[in-house]
Amino acid sequence: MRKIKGKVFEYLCISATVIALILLALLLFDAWNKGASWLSFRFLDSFPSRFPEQAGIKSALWGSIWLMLLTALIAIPLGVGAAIYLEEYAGRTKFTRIIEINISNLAGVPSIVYGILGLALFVRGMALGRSVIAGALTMALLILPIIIISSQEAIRAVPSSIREASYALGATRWQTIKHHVLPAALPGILTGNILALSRAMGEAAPLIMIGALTFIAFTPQSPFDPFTALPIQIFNWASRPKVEFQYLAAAGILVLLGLLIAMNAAAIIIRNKYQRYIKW
Amino acid sequence: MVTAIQTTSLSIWYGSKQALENVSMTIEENRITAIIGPSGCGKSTFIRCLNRMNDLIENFRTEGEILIFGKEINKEDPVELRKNVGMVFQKPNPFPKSIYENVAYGPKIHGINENRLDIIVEESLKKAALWDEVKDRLNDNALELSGGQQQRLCIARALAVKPEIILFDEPCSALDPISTSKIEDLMLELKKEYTLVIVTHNMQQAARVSDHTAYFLYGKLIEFGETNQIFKKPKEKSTEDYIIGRFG
Amino acid sequence: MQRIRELAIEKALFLCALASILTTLGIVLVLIFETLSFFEEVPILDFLTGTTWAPTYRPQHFGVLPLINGTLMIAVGAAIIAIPLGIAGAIYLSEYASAKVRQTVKPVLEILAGIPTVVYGYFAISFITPLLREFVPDANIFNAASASIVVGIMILPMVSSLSEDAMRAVPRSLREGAYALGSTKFEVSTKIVVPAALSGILASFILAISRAVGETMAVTLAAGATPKMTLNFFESIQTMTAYIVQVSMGDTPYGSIEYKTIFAVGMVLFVMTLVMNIASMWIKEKYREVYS
Repeated sequence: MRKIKGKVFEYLCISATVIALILLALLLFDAWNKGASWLSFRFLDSFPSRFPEQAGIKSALWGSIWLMLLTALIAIPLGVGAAIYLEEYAGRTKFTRIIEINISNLAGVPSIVYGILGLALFVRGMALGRSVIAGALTMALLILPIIIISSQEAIRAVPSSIREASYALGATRWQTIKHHVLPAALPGILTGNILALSRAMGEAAPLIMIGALTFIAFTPQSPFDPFTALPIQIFNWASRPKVEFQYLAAAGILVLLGLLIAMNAAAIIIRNKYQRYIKW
Repeated sequence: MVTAIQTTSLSIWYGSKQALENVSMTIEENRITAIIGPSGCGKSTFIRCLNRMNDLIENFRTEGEILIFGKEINKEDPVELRKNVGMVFQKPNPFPKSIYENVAYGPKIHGINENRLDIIVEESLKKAALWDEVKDRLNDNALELSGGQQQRLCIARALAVKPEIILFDEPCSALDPISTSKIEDLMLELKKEYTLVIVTHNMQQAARVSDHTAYFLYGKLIEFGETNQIFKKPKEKSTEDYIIGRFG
Repeated sequence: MQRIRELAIEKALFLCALASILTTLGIVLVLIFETLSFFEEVPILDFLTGTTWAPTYRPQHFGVLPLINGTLMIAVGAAIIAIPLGIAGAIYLSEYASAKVRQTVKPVLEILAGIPTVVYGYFAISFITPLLREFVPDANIFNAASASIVVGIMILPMVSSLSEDAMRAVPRSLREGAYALGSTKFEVSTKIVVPAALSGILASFILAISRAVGETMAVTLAAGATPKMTLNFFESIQTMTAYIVQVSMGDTPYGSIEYKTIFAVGMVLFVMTLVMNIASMWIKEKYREVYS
């Protein structure tokens, strides 16, 4: 009897796992089904339009790229810098603990709240308007906790014996970090950064808050221009009742997923490539 | 007979725990001084004071004086001090870089001209009795060497910054007997040019290589003297008990 | 000279770390400031206890309960899906699965977790809702159930992965002791491992629900824009997050009372998720089993 109970339970657990796999497959299949036929170079190169046959994703695609680059420029130095400070300079004081708890909390704040902050602080407060730079600043704040936490873990994984050897030779703290700790932690840091950016690429809520418009017929030429982004465009098409727009949304999803797959694949390749050089 | 290191009433605390109590000792130049004692007696703590590696630990406090060639080291810049007092660790810890880069790192960061690095690397590897084994593969990853070779590489790395004193923290405890014997021979060669202080829990090793021996127990220096005298006619009962193996 | 450089670098890095504190300060100050301004015009009691939310209609009503109701419905619905499936999956991966299976399934779960929420929203309206209406023809085209289902799928990897981490942290020696007494795998998993890992597992539940509360795009697309007090999952509702999106997309004049509702509702949302996140941290710390 006990054995039967065990077996039943095991099959229940397996089914649970399998259900998750099935759902993922269904989701991808559905998107492919509806959107694949609408994918074309013309689609990538055209601007949105009231007429589905002419609509394209060009402004959203370039908006997203601009946004990612600016966000990376802001968030990566800030985040990695904070991680270096917390791991290498700060002692185990109460203040450090408070900073770390704060970062954990920020990681759990809903993305739309970051949008509200961005609206009040960047769009209004700093009078940046509904621009790419306002969006990038907001997204940078959103992914900052993720970058800090993953960079901290990568730095922590570097064995302390390496640091000791460096100090014993008369190296300063920054020399030790720059020559030994960072190079060793780099694969982990890079992977973490790429994953954080891919998370940012899929977020729509904060961008809606800061006013990324949905009918933009141009690509940004400067950080102060208005813009739109892939998730916004998808959201816009998906909310329209006409069925062709649903297919357009699916095509947009395929583009977005394609980009995300590329980014995540890059992260995995980097991690594997460097893993070979660093063997403790 | 020149005094290389002189400690006076040296006491150390980690937080509220006292690790060393009132240690006063004189270490001579161009000699090998061994520090022996059971686990936890403060041997490693003591030598880590000599190149201020203990500064890296939080809640660390020191009282007393340490003079190295006449200069009080706790007032000096630790970075400069560590150029002069090198350290070899218990577990070999080469950088995950090439053999060449490992040895060249120290001189590089202290501003030595790039052109001179090749010579310094070769000199240091020769002094560490490793040159012949690696001269054809200087660009290989240091982690590919055997344990004994890695430790000799760490010695070469320490030599490359041209210290006057080298500290060894149980340098052979992770190595096989053949590598151990190679390193002991190396130490006897090195003492001609350098002052060596080695921490060891292997008493036979202390008896084999050292000129002077210091015996520590519970953070206190119990006895210090010529190695022959310590091992044949220890003055303190505790020293005698430890040496003949009554405890430890 | 080098000393100065070292000090300058340390200060610069410290400022980077400070940015995180400034972010929290920013969020808190912005929300408090505008919310206080909101309560100058709308009595706080009306806001917190009113059951009608109609800021854009005349007469205006500012009772936030319908929005909270909508949010909680989604969170509960998502939890009903994610928690059983998640914990079952976690038990399977931690106690039963071979390394090979784990290597295939874990990346899949990570992919599920990495899919943008707007994609889940699309999935809800294009696949789940039509399917649902086959079985429940009365279901509204916008309904809470579809949104709950996809949000549940969205947070499932979180429950599964965090619970699995908690279970794998239980030392082998505990399991071996039980096996040596003749227990079956089922008994060891449910009577030894899960209780030992309970604090981490519970923490994962709370974190996942907090994530569901903060979810925006899927509910905006699928759950509707009609705030109401209901328990019927097949009706359309509106969550706090969906309301905030709706107002920002419209022509809301800066400084108007409608504009301020963004911050008032945002404040409620922030406080709810903050309390949940802190609770999960607290549970993890306080009831953590010390193994040795």
